[in-house]
Amino acid sequence: MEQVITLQAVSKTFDTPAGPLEILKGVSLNVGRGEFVAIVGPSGSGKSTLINMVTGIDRPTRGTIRVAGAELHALNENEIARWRGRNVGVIFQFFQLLPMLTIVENVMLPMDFCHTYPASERHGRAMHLLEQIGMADQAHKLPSAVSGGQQQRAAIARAMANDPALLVADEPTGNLDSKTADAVFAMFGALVQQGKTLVMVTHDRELATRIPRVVRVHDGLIVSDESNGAA
Amino acid sequence: MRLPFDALRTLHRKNLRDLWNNRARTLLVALSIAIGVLGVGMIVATWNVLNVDLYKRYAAIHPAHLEIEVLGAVQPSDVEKLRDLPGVTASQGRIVFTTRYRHTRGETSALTDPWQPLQLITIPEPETQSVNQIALVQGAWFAQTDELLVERASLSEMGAAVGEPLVVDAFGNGIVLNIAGTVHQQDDVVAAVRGSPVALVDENTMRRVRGTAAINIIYLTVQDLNQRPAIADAARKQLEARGFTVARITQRDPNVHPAQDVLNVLFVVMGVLGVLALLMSSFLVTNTISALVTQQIKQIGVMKALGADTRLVAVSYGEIVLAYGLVGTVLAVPFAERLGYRLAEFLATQINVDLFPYRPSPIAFIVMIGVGLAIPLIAASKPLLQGARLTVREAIADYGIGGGSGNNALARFVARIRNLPRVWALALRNAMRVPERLVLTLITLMLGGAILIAVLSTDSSFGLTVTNLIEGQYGMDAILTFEQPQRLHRVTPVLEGFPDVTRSEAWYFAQATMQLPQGNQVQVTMNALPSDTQFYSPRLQSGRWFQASDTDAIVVNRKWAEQEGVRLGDTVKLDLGERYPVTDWRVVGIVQDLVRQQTGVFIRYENLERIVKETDRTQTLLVRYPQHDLASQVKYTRALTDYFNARGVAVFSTQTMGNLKNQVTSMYRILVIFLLVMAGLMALVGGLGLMGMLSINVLERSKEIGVMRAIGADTPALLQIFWGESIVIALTSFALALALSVPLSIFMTRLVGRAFIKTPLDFAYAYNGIFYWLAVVVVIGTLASIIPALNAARLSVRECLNYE
Repeated sequence: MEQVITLQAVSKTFDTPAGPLEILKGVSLNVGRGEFVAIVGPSGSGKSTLINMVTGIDRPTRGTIRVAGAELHALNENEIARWRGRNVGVIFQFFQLLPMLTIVENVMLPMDFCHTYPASERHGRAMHLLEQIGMADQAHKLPSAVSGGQQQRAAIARAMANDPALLVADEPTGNLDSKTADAVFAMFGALVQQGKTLVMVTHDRELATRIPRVVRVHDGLIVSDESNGAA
Repeated sequence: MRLPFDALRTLHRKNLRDLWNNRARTLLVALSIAIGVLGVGMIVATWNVLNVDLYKRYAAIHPAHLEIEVLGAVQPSDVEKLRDLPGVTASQGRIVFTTRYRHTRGETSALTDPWQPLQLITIPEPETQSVNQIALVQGAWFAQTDELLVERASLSEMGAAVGEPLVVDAFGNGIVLNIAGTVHQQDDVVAAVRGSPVALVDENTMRRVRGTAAINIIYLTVQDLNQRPAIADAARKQLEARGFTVARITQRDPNVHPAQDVLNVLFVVMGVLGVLALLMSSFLVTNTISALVTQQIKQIGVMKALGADTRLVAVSYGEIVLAYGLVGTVLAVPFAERLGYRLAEFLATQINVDLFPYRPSPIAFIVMIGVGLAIPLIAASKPLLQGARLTVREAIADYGIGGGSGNNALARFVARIRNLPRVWALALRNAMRVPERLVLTLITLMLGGAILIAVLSTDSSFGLTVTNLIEGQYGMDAILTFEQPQRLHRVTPVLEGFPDVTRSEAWYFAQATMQLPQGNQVQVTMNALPSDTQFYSPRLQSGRWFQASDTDAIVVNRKWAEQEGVRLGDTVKLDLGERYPVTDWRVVGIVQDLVRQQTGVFIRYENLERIVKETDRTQTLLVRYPQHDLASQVKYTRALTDYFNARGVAVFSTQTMGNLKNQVTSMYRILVIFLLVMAGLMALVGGLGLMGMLSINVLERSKEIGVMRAIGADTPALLQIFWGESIVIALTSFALALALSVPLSIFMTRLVGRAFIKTPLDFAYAYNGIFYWLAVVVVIGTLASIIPALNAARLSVRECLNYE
């Protein structure tokens, strides 16, 4: 299987007022194309830092990271930003839609930044993505005018804007009610069916049981990496 | 209920850490406040220092309360006798005589006439002056003969230096006098304004130049200013009893500075700008503090969740706001005080006054404390109350990106604008994100721009008015004065042989004594103009100009008429001296005339025969040339002077209108300089205000920068968004500033006009100001966004997303 994510002996140490704090301790992880992986673990275990390494939001103190064909540790901030825009769709817990852009404009923004589609096609593609997630009728509203669940669906459409191979979601359902969370999860499932690789951090044990592969992080180490038979 | 001091102590520690750990933000907010405080503090300090020091310095020379112009062989003993009059505290005699000088080394400039007027003053026993004291600056009081002590401001006007010789005219013969030192005279306007430099000579030299060393000006000081009319009357009687003629007695107010005309305008402008700067500063400070408190709402929510009541929250945040205000004020006060003093010093130099050594202005200090501490607290009260009223849930809810939800009518309105590139749409809508802040920022900038343009408009209106008053009124290019009166039928054929004179007119100028309806006498300069004059277009303030049927009509100058209480319809008497009869004249018009504003009166040349039977004679010739620029005027005048001299018509002095205009303009040079300095200051305060505001905007949106980076924005894309936002605000404020600048310019030119010539200035809108301000807002808008956005772009995405 083609590897989309390859982490080798990745460590991350933060300098804090109390001294150096090692959050990741020589972690290695491989994720293949089309996999749906849950990263679980208690608060402070290092799971968010782990996916920040995958998205290039954070840099390792030691070790190497290869994601979607790029050696992340060798790129500068601007190169990473452009690479991420093209290759990784990031979904945040608090949606993080830009409040001054309408829903459809938010979805078009990554295409504007990365010039992945001709300008004349961007609106059509954004509307197509919004239709797929049932948000076309809300396209011209500002984020503040729609519900949290709708904002998260719009955030997923935005993550899909440049048709990235990899989607990374940090607690995407953490701020949603269970019904909306189920709908969002179903959307993720559909994306994986389409061949996308999806890595998701979650606190939700029940949700984790529905994901094919579960990586448990504890105290900066991967303590288990199991296929989930129930999924 | 008492405040829980234990909790306050804890919050105090929290506040200190908050200020220290966010040093960049603390400094930015404090700097924004400092700029506001600086702008208003500097103006108040300048005003205060000037207002105090000018009058103190003037008082220190013991200014005269009465000035008596006297004819006859007046000796120092006659002046001393006046001291015996009841109520007189001191008397001082002077010999004042205006001659002409030229440099021994030849001409200093191609644009000035070779012979220049020079006022000589002799003070008997200069070491013991009691009134209108002239101070020795360099050299000694006449150690040798043939010495000049030149007034210090005159020296540079003359283009001379101590140690140089000058040729001074003495009855047509040039005598060489050495400049042996300098003096400082404060009882008159500076040389550039008066039109002639001043030098002191001893009695022997005065005798050589003037033919006599008899005192012709007497200064008196009195115990009670209200007694001046009675003392003036007694002094006149005493002098006349001793056989002297009193030509004129002028009452002087020791509280009126010789440069009061200019100071009046200066203080009016300072007052207006001070108020506007205060407004601008207040908006700037309010905006900064509001933005800051809004950022802290989440923390307020947490404090409330932990049991803090509204009062505790208010006191705690009041402390932070005061700390920002204090840091800003502490930063601004020393600079504002010193810059204010330096500006006052610069302005004082223009009117030849030395300030007292530097000391802080207490009034400026109080105003700055008010602006720096009270306004931030007032500004903070609204967002603090709003924050305090929020429920805990609302306050701590994290909906992701901060810095305003954008859920406001303005934002929704601009969201309807479609088909903009996303990055520009974002820039435009971000600008509308927090409407209150946008409005305050726009008002601050709008005021800055409008004031800049209004100040420049005042300057250009001022220039236009002076030009209109001089060039619009006077059509000649030069005035030639002959050494002896000339018969017109002799001069006219000579002049016809000089092809470069396109027109000439003979005007009759004479010093005359005018008796006013109230009975008092004043010395005036009579200008008799031909009926068909093309060289004078009166700018009438009231009444009318001459008619063909007039036989006894006289037109007077507004300023002089106001001073002396002369009104339209009054009958006045003119006395040209013993050889001529005293005649009655009726005031038919009042004109505005900057050139002859002091004592100029106008009559028809044809009516002069009532006084002077032989009107074929003239000592003054006015001429017009084919070209009217200063260089041409000087060139033709020199050629014409040589031409007349070669034909036995000796020319005593010449004056070109270009130089006359420069002389009048220089009177107000200080005002123009001040206006330009103020324009620069306003641009600086407005510009830096925008910079501070936008920097806070960018700082506040660090999280948003992180999100944009996360979805693929590189540094140029981020810069474009923040620069776009900044430019949207800058250009909107620019448009508003243009709209406001028109009424503000009209208001200021009217105000300055009333202080300057009692009527509005001729309005000239400063179109160049539009481009200056556009350049300022674009540059500042760019700096304001690029620098903080670059800084923010250097942060990692994780740091941005973690930013509170």
